[in-house]
Amino acid sequence: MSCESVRECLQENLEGTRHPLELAARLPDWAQRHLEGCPACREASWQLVSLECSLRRLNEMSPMPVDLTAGVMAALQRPEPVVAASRERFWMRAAAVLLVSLCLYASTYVSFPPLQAGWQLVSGWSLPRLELPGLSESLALVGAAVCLVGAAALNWRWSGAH
Amino acid sequence: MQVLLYTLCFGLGAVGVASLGLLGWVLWPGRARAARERIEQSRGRCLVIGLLHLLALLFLLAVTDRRGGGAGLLVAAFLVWMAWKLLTALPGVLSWLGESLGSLADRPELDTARATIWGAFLLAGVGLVPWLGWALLTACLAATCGCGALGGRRAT
Repeated sequence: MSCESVRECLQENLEGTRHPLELAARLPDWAQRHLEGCPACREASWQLVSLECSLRRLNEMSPMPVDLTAGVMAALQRPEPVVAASRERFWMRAAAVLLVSLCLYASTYVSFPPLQAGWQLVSGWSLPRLELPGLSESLALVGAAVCLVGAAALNWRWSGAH
Repeated sequence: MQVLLYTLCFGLGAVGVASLGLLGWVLWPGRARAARERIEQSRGRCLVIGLLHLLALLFLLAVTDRRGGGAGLLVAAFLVWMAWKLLTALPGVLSWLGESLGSLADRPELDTARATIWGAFLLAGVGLVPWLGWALLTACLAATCGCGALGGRRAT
């Protein structure tokens, strides 16, 4: 009873097995007795069952689509969803900033005592004021707006949000 | 006396900035890595964005009333936003500066923490040099702020 004949027997009974014990149960008595005493053949039976299971899983997977190339090319030409999400996030942020600013501005006109007290508290502190020679307030305001809009536009262009 | 004062400024500045940088790596490692990548890839863009923000801040401070009020609050909010961007981008920029310094000094394989500390000492040292050093320091801080403000997926 050689190992070679046992392995031939293993291969003949392999189809459809899910576990080495299932395979061993299908073998004739002489092969089962050989397996009990031969670690190399037991190892071979484990490997064969493992290979069989892998092949069966591969077979159960959905077949590759015939128009794979066309599908890949179409996907490449579609706009990236990340970019769209990024653009959406930019506008959401801009809208949020605008809304908060409007709310803050409007709240200064609301005659609600706790709110007025809060504004009085806020107006108590002061920021350092720069005295830039030859610069009127309106010009400085325009300069600030130009810088901020320019920075936002460059940021939008360079960050890939467009 | 003056040497002592300079040494004190250097030491306190370096230790303070290094602590901020190391804390940033611990608290916001993702932001620090993104800032590091951004400053490596597009220093010029970070600098331009940062300088524009700095200029806008100067203009806004020129029109702000001494008393706070609504406009003052908006300027303060802008200041806080810039400080936040500066703080979160600082670790990445410091480690990049430190690694650049390490390459110059034939120590190319510094780990992140050491590179951050080297970068902080470099910034503090530059800040001691009048005019040119201050200009460099301002540019570096502006680039850091711009690096934090430069959004998007990744710098290109």
